[in-house]
Formats: sequence, structure tokens, C-alpha cells
Amino acid sequence: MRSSEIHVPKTLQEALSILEGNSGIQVLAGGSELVGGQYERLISFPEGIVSIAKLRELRKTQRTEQFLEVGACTTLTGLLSLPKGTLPSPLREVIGTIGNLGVRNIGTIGGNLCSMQHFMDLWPFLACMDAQIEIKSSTLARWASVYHLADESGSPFLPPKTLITRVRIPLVFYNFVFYKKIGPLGLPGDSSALFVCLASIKHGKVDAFRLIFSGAKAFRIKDLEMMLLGRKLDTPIKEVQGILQIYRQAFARHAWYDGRVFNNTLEECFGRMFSS
Amino acid sequence: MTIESKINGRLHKLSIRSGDRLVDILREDLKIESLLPDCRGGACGRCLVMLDGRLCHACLTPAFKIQGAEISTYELIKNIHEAIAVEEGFLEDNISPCPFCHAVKILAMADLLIKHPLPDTETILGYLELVPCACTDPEIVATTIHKVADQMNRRKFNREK
Ligand SMILES: Cc1cc2nc3c(=O)[nH]c(=O)nc-3n(C[C@H](O)[C@H](O)[C@H](O)COP(=O)(O)OP(=O)(O)OC[C@H]3O[C@@H](n4cnc5c(N)ncnc54)[C@H](O)[C@@H]3O)c2cc1C
Ligand code: FES
Ligand code: FES
Repeated sequence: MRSSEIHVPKTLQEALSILEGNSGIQVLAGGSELVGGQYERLISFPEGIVSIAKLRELRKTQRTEQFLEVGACTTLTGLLSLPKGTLPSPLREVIGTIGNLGVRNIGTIGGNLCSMQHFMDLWPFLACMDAQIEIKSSTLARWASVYHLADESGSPFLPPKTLITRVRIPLVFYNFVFYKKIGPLGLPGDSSALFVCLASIKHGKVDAFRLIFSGAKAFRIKDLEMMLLGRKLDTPIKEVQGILQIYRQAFARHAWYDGRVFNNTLEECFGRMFSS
Repeated sequence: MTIESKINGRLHKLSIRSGDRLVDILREDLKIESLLPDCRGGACGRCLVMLDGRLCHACLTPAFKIQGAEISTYELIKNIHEAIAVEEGFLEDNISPCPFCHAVKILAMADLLIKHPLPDTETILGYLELVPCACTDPEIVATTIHKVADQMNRRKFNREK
């Protein structure tokens, strides 16, 4: 087994310089995803590793009236330990289902969003909530929508030699929350997927609507989400069926997951929303 | 590479490879026998340790990450009040974990009582999920842990009859 060079930077700037100056280097935060999928005696790492979990700059938390901002290396347990009411409730609920306490004690929000094998559990929620991420390299820093961690083909994507440093979560209230984890328990893999739908219903009408199905790839149709806005909850069944049909046909064109599972979950979700 | 860390109260200088897992260093170099890794994937819990005060799977922890850190295993934790109380509670209620999970279950329950002196059932069950076990009903263990927590709190506040 080849040995890897291990970098443990003391500052964020140092971490970014290491990433910039070395190709073939991988970021390690909690390591639960990178190591969790390996069962050999020795862990196989690429040429180099930059270990960022202890960087103070990546562990800060800030809350304003509009949003909660957390450093990318905030652990999942750290998120659950925030004072009651700080973390939007659907997020709190799904974090509680990730792995087990030992995994949540080391797994970070940044690591959850940056898995390049698979979309993990927080990505669809945070994308539905219009959360933003700060992306930094040694030369630039910018904010982007979490949704941009998917490329045009719907696969996970992060620009090379960059780090996610902060995640900004809008404190918006959704009064319709539907999600379903599909596949075996444990480290998400090829057969896992997550269906997430968040909506805001005001005066019996759909005021905001987001629906994402993610796993190896991501599926979302923003135009259809727009079409649902303003619909009454007592919309005639025929019309609802029409929207479902457009979703089904669009998903069938992607075909990276069993369409029957998607269709059944979609029907269950719409059934609940339009009867709520 | 060489790392230094405090393990069970003693400072150790260890020579490791980049791909070594903490669990193997603890078992093979330091002969810590309470760890009996099985899955090596964070699922069975038989490699649980306290790393800087948090319960972690030593199989998921690259050894280089413990540079400057403090590790405690069952060998140290078994002597603290919470662990002794859990052992006594298990004995009283005839709960006898098998040799594969005994040490890590006591470690996990001791950490639970340190962090949550009066835990609710949901929290206890969350901790028990760390060491999945088909042989003991988690609800029964939870009842015992409630009893242990209650007794410890009475003692703390001198309310023992
Ligand atoms: C037993 C088990 C069960 C699990 N169950 C679940 C589950 O139910 N749901 C779920 O979502 N996940 C699950 N996981 C996966 C994992 O624990 C979580 O996704 C966790 O949040 C990953 O965080 P980490 O810090 O450990 O990531 P790491 O393993 O450190 O990194 C993951 C990826 O992100 C990159 N990365 C990390 N941080 C950054 C950053 N700041 N900027 C850029 N790139 C970065 C790394 O290079 C790597 O590619 C499970 C894992 C195990 C072992
Ligand atoms: S060996 Fe199974 S959790 Fe570590
Ligand atoms: S695994 Fe040890 S008692 Fe069940």
C-alpha cells in the first residue's frame, strides 16, 4: 500500500494554499464518508490528504433573524446541539437519522454536502431550502446556491482545489414537509435515494414548493415547481394527475433510479399535500 | 510518521502509517483488548472509544487524526462512577452483555450518563443504537438505565432513603 502525504494545516489560508499547490490531494473533514466505505485493514487515501476538521475558522456558528450560518466543519452532533428552535425542524429531524451517534460526532455538514460519489442526506434539504455555500480557493471566495453542487447532468460537482467554508441556511418556515429515505440503512450507496418535498401553504394555496429526488444523481424541475404556485389544495384530481404525469415522464427520461419507486413516492407526497 | 497522544491517561509516542486506523494501533501496538472490531465501517460499535470527550468509532478514525488528542477506552472508563453504576444496574437486572459488546456498551452508557444525567428514553435508545444487538431488548436496557440515572441523582443530592 502506497503511503500518502498527510497535511494538517493550522489555518484556513494554509489549507487553501496546500490545495492550490498540490494536485491529487483530497480534503478530509470527519472522514466518516471517505473511510466508512472502505473495509480493508489499511485505509486507502490518494497521494495526499489535507485534514481540515480542526480548523477554527470552519467551526463557527452565527444566527441572524433571516439565517443560520455554520462553518463547514460543524459536526452533525454540533448542529443538533444548537439551542432549540435554531435549526429548522425538517433539518433537525433528518440529521437525527444520519448514521448513528458515533458517525454524527465526527461527520460534518461540509462533508455531507461534498461527497462526490453520491448526494448525501443534507443536500436535497438544503437545496430545497435555498441554502447558500461559501466556496473558497486560495485566490477567490464566492457564495453560491447549494443547488450548484450538482452539475448540468445532475451529478455531484465541486470545482477542483476549492473548499466549502460556510453554509448559510435561511430560516424559512415550511408547513408541508414530506421526505422519504429509500434503500438500505447505513452509508448511502448505489441503491439509496432521498425524496424531499417542502412547501408552504397559505390560505389553502401553494405559496412555495420544492421537490428534489437525489441519490447518485439529482432530479428537480424548477418550471414545474413554478406551475404549482397558487394552486388551491382542493385543485381537481384531474389537474393534479396532469402534473404528476409530467413529473413521471420527466423522471423516466433520466432513468438513474427505478421509476416505479419515484412514481409511488411522488403519488404518496401529492396525495398528502392535496388532502392536507 | 510519529504522533503523540494521551491514551488512557498516559502519553504515548506512536509510529504509524498514513492508512492506519486508530482501532488497529490501539489493539496491536497498545494491546487494548476491549476493542473487538467486526464491521470496520461504523456499524457494529465494537470499536467505540472516547476521542477528546466524544464517542467515536476507532475503525473510522485514521490514526494520524489523534495527534495531540486524548483517547479513553473502557479500560480507563470502567473505573468512573457512571460506569460502575451501569455495571451494578446491569447485574441487578440480570442484563449480561456478551463478551463482544460488554465493554463498549458500558462505555457508551457511561458517556450517556455523563452527558445526560437524566436521559429520556429516546436519548438512551439513540446511544444503544451505537452497539446494535439482537440479544437484549433495548427497551429493557433503557428501563435499567433510567433506574441507574435516578439512583445516581438521588445520591448526588443526598436524597437517598
Ligand atoms: C455507518 C455510516 C452510516 C452513515 N449514514 C449516513 C446517512 O444515513 N445519511 C448520510 O447522509 N450520510 C451517512 N453517512 C455518511 C457520512 O457519515 C455523512 O455524510 C457525513 O456528514 C460526512 O461528513 P464527513 O465530515 O465525515 O466527510 P468526509 O468523509 O471527511 O468527506 C466526505 C467528502 O467531502 C469532501 N469534503 C469534506 N469537507 C469538505 C469541505 N469543507 N470542502 C470541500 N470538500 C469537502 C471530502 O473530500 C470527501 O470527498 C454514514 C456513514 C457511515 C460510516
Ligand atoms: S468495527 Fe464495527 S463500528 Fe468499528
Ligand atoms: S451483541 Fe453482545 S449481547 Fe448482543
